[in-house]
Amino acid sequence: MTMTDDRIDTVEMTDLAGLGHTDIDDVLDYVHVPTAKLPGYLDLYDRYLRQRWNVNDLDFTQDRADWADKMNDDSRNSFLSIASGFHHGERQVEAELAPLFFGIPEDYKVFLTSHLEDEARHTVFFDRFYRDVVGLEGDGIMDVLDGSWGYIQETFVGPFGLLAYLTDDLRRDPYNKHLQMKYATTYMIWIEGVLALSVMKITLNYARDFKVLPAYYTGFTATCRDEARHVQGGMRFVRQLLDEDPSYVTDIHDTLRTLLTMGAARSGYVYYEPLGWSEERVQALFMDQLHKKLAMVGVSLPADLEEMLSMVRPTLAGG
Amino acid sequence: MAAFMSTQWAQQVKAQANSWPDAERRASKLVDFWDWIDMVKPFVTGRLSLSVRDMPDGAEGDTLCLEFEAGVVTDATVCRRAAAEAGSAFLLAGSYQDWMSMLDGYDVGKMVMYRKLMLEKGDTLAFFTPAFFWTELLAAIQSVPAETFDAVPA
Ligand SMILES: [Fe+2]
Ligand SMILES: [Fe+2]
Repeated sequence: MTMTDDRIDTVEMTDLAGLGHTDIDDVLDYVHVPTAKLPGYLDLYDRYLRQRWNVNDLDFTQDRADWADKMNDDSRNSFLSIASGFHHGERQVEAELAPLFFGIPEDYKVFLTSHLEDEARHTVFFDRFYRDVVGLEGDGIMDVLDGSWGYIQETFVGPFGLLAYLTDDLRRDPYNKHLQMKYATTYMIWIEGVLALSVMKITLNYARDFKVLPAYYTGFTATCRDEARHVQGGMRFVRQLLDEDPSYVTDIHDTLRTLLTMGAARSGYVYYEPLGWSEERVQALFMDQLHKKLAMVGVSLPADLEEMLSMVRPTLAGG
Repeated sequence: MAAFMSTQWAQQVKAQANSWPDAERRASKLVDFWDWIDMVKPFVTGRLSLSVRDMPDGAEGDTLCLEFEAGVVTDATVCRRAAAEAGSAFLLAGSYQDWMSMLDGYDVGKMVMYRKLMLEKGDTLAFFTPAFFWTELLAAIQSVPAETFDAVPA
């Protein structure tokens, strides 16, 4: 599906309050542009300056009432098993981004400062949601994170542990382009481009269709628009590395092989049904999102990876 | 109770790892999960060393060396890191304090995600391909009672 110009304009120009009435599916479509149209890093930075939102402008009063009155134990539990993957995921992508800064192109450095600030704001957004709506308490960000850890799928540590260890590799060797490619594949293609953009849809469609949690809907839709910039910046970087040396595609494939092997594991059931979803639908979204990201950088999957992709169990997380 | 980083403890870790999971642990996760573990096991061969960076004086060594053959621990010893490292496919290392919190029950997933244990030797992608085999191994190690040293080194 291609977006009409006026729908693109709406997503592009709307302020925070307006995003509360914008359709999340339009925002998700807004991420995908063909390679030739990938914006420059400074254009993305300019867009950041216009689209930046204040997490403290959100008022969670109505959300707290909806959480208590309009939702039941089943829907609250399903919601938490998905939202907690973002609560932790946003913190991980915030804390693990800095070492990329050293070895990237000059203009990307400018944009990356905004990417880092976005992830910090997304972390605070979930911190506020868990305190003000779910009712967790804690002294700081980590205390509240520890409070929601019990809802996290055990397999979360696959992609996010890999990201943590690749971050450490990059810290030790920041100019290594093979490492940069493995890192970008894990961070921008898989965690942001596939996991986040697929799983975001579940809780946001639920909030939209059941008319609940308006501040969550507004803030998380704004988060999704921020992710569009991160993914487009990341895809531009991947494209640039491939233009320099097409053999870096091996690093993309090797990284996906590890991610997809881990992705075939699951340790517990997630009940999507109270939110109106099924595992098959989420799995189909994963496949679609990965194909779209790879199309943005002009890379295809070898047959063994296509087959592995069809076996992936959804990891309910994102950043 | 065997002392942490002693030969006796290493032997108990070996026995525990090879009989893992117990019935209770098995029942706490889907059959799919254990099928996945069985799928990756044949590829786990070679030495994994688990090291304490700042081991207090008095221990037999600072590093647990586990030799794997298709996911089975064939040998477990305690030695000095310098002796273990060269022959290791992977080496994980952490501080004594973080090791103590793991033995005390700290979540093994967080041990990895928050880099309480860091991969100081070995290829990161190759290490993560059987990721949950390793987190289960950490859980097995965690479940072996160990006598620890009071003195945390300066
Ligand atoms: Fe992001
Ligand atoms: Fe984010």
